Amino acid sequence: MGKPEDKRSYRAIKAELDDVMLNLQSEDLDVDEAIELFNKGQKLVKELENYLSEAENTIKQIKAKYE
Amino acid sequence: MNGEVTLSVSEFVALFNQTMEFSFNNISITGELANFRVSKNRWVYFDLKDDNSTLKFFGNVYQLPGPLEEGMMLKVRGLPLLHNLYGFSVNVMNIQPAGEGSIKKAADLLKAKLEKEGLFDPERKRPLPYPPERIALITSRQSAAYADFIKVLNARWKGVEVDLADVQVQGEISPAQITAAIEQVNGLADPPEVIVLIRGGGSAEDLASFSTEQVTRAVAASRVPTLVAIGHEVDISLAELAADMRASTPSNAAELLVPDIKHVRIELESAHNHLLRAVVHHNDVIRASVSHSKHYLENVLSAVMQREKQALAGHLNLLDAFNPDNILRRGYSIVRDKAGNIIRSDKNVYVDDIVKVKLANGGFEATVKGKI
Repeated sequence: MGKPEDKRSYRAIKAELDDVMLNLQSEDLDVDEAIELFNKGQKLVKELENYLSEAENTIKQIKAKYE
Repeated sequence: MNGEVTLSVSEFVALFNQTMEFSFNNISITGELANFRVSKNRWVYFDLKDDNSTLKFFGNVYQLPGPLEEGMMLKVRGLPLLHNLYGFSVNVMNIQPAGEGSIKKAADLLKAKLEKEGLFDPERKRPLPYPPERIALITSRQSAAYADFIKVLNARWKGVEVDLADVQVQGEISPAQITAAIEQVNGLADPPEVIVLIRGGGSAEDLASFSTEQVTRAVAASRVPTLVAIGHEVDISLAELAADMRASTPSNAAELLVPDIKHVRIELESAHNHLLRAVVHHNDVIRASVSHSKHYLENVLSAVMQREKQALAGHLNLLDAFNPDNILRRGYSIVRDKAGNIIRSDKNVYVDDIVKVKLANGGFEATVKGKI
């Protein structure tokens, strides 16, 4: 998409977070799993907050003459 | 010109046409459609008439804006031509329905035709990526529609790349331009995720491009999902019916396209809290489980201990019965010979043998006097 590889789309990050939240609902998680998910979730929330504070909209006009 | 001029037939025809081209270089004629027919699926013949006159026209099927009906008012731009063999007609360059009535009628006819083909079927509609990272925006750059859309987009969301295609959104060349833009975006090696096609309010004539067959088919055929918002009218344009998603206005299009950053920020905070609560909840559940297990184990252990104690007590009681002291206490005595062996039988006992007798309390030596 012409983006730097380490910049993920908002949709991709959000999807991962939704996954984490879903897994946390599971009743048979052990303590280690729960902590791991919590940490992952925190990291994803931070990533989304960063995206929202840093991203910008850009407008570029297509150079073409339409007939 | 004064004086007489004599020309051959062909010369006259050529001169006549030259004069026509010069005088009627950019003329449009409005009239009622009559005698419409299509020949060999390519050539179109029709008349335009008013109360007093009728004029013949000649064109091709690709110039038709959509299905037409006798009696419709049309506006046709064309060049009057005297054909060297077939006589006089106007060569069509552009056909549009004229007047609100005809415009509506043309749209109705086209709608029925395309609906039958399935272009407006709900099953064809695809969901739009939400939010998209890159879109193509097809509209007039000078318009209020453009300004409104961008304003709402910037207020709501970030990180969207907008590729803008500046086109005419009304007038004769508008349908061709819009179609070309849609096709160009679809033809890109790396196309955007959504095509947004917008136009602000206006008269029926202003909006007519978005109900032409050309534009409607281009929207329906677009491989890139489409979001279309035309005017503020109650009547929906055909391009909107063919689109994957329709918005009521350009501003509404931005509202449907991307989330509201304010709400998303709140949602993230809530997610953060939820994560904390989830972990605390898990800790509580595990703690309760551990506590439960602990009590269970204690109970089990206690029961086992009880059982063992009882068994042990039983054993002790049994053992006690065999304690020699307890036996002696009952009145028995132990008799041993000189060597210290316990005497159980009188077989090896003889008179005058010395025996030792142990009692519960103390003991004595005795001499055997005789058997009993």
